[in-house]
Amino acid sequence: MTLQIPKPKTISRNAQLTKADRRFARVMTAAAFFSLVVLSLIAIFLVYQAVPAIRDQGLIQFLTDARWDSGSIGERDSDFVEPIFGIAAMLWGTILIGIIAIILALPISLGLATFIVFIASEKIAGVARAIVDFLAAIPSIVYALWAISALTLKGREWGEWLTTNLGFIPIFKNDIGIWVGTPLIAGIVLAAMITPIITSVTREVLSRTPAELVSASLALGGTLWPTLKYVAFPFAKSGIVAATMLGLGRALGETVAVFYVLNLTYGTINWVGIVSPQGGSIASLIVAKFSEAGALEISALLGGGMVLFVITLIVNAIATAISRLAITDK
Amino acid sequence: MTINSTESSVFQVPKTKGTGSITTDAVMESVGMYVWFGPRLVLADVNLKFPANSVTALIGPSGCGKSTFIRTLNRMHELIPSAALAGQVLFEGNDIYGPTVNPVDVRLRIGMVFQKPNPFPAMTIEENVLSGLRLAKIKNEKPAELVEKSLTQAGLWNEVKDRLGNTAGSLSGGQQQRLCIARSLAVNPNVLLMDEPCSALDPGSTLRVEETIRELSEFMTVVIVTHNMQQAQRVAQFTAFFLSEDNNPGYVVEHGPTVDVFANPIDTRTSDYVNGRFG
Ligand SMILES: Nc1ncnc2c1ncn2[C@@H]1O[C@H](COP(=O)(O)OP(=O)(O)OP(=O)(O)O)[C@@H](O)[C@H]1O
Ligand SMILES: [Mg+2]
Repeated sequence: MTLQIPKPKTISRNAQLTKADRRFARVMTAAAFFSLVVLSLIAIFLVYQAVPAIRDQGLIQFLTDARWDSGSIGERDSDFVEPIFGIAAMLWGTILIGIIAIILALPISLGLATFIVFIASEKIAGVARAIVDFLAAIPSIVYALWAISALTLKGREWGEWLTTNLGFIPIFKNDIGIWVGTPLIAGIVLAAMITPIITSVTREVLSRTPAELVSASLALGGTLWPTLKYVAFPFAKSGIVAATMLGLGRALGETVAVFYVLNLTYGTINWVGIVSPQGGSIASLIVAKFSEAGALEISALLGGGMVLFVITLIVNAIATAISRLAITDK
Repeated sequence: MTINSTESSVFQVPKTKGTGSITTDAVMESVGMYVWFGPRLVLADVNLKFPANSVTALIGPSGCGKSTFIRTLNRMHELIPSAALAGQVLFEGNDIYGPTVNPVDVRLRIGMVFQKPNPFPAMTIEENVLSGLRLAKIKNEKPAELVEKSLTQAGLWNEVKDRLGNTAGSLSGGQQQRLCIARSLAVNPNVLLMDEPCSALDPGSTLRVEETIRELSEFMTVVIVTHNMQQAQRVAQFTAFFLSEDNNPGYVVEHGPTVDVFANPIDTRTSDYVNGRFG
């Protein structure tokens, strides 16, 4: 007798659901779909609005030119200046201050979160938690006010000190002799803004480290640092990446706090000079230019918005990829 | 002896019965151990000797303090925020709570296996075995040999030798528990503490782990908490019966060779408990 092997059959997820489940699933699917639609509509709107400027300037020109000049119509023909809209200086400036912010905020956030979860006594941890969550909820204009009133002065001193003592390193060079409105100051404000957010999320993930794993580590003779390194951080890795990207996303899109402390410079790209008063920020550019812009410039500004949108998507994609890696790399 | 168990009540700690018959030299010994959680005394005057290369079973009803006690033996108890204790644990003659003793060293000499298998999920099988070395920053010249030796001692080598690079999560519960045993063995402890190591396992895996315990006891001292009376009789040469009555602190009612505790208990409550009449 030969054994007849039946065909393998996969059972759909739908079969597990009751009627109410199914209704709920439909609502959730619709909601998910709706948010995708909204996102696409925003993207389409931005692209649509940006088309006139990009057609006028050329996409490559728009992305690589550092100049942003509204142009002018003078008395005579010779006074006429062709408008030029290039986003490059602002685009790189945005990324530069984002990098500064993350470099400053991440170690502080990790340290603070670790302190709250693993080191502080219950009482102190509770107070620290409350303060961090409170700081995370402060509107950015408050940070802007702090930055204008206090940070700018300090930042000038720090910048000058860095140039005087470490000016031979390109990032601390400053040929202009002014230390106000530098990417460093903008980066510090952003770091102050995003540290509470990153700390808060990191604390949450770290506190979910299974107690039995911590016990296992301690019982094996592990002290605090090895336990963090081999048990808690690997466990929290993808959450920490997500927290960082959340912070970075906020830093990239932050407008008002940056607008008041960063000197926007058009024409040249300031690649690395973080204590030089030549900065860029797409969001601040939009604030600075929007109210007096003509039709073509508005279109160009929306093009800037589109670029910012794309950067955010890229940041998110990287975050997703990294947290996937974190899960599957072993 | 009379002590204040809480502010209001006074508790008379009865003397442990049967201890006299343990005459062998002890590698580890708890002397007058009292344990508190916050203001609440949960264990009183525990005096137990653990002879070298033997297995001692700790039995008793739920909540009588077996886990609490076993955690005092390698200084894991003090990690609980409200925990406090008084008394001594002598290991090779020295008090592990002595002022100059580093708890990390204690935990390296006196290993622990937990009730729920808890391998490190992000590590491979091999990394799990070596994790104790990494955590305690111990160098090893021949990690591959150590992995094989530890897994062999834990009775897991043959099942996993072809997939040492897989994550620990890919193992069955019983295999995970034996991996945790291997992990503890890799740092070469003298004593292994096991708190209900088989309670999450199937009968087959349980027997496998028991076999491992018997093999280990040829060269190390094992203390095992168990609710399984057959298991105590199968693996342990000595048994201590813990009891906590009427919300009083737990204490050791009877302690002696397993055969005596099960076949000729001195205390009627021991006899009732081992015969399944309560607990
Ligand atoms: N972290 C803790 N905080 C406060 N009290 C605790 C804590 N852990 C245990 N206890 C109390 O200490 C007593 C002894 O608990 P323990 O876990 O040692 O019992 P056990 O004998 O191991 O019980 P089981 O057989 O159920 O595991 C119990 O009354 C328990 O409520
Ligand atoms: Mg227990």
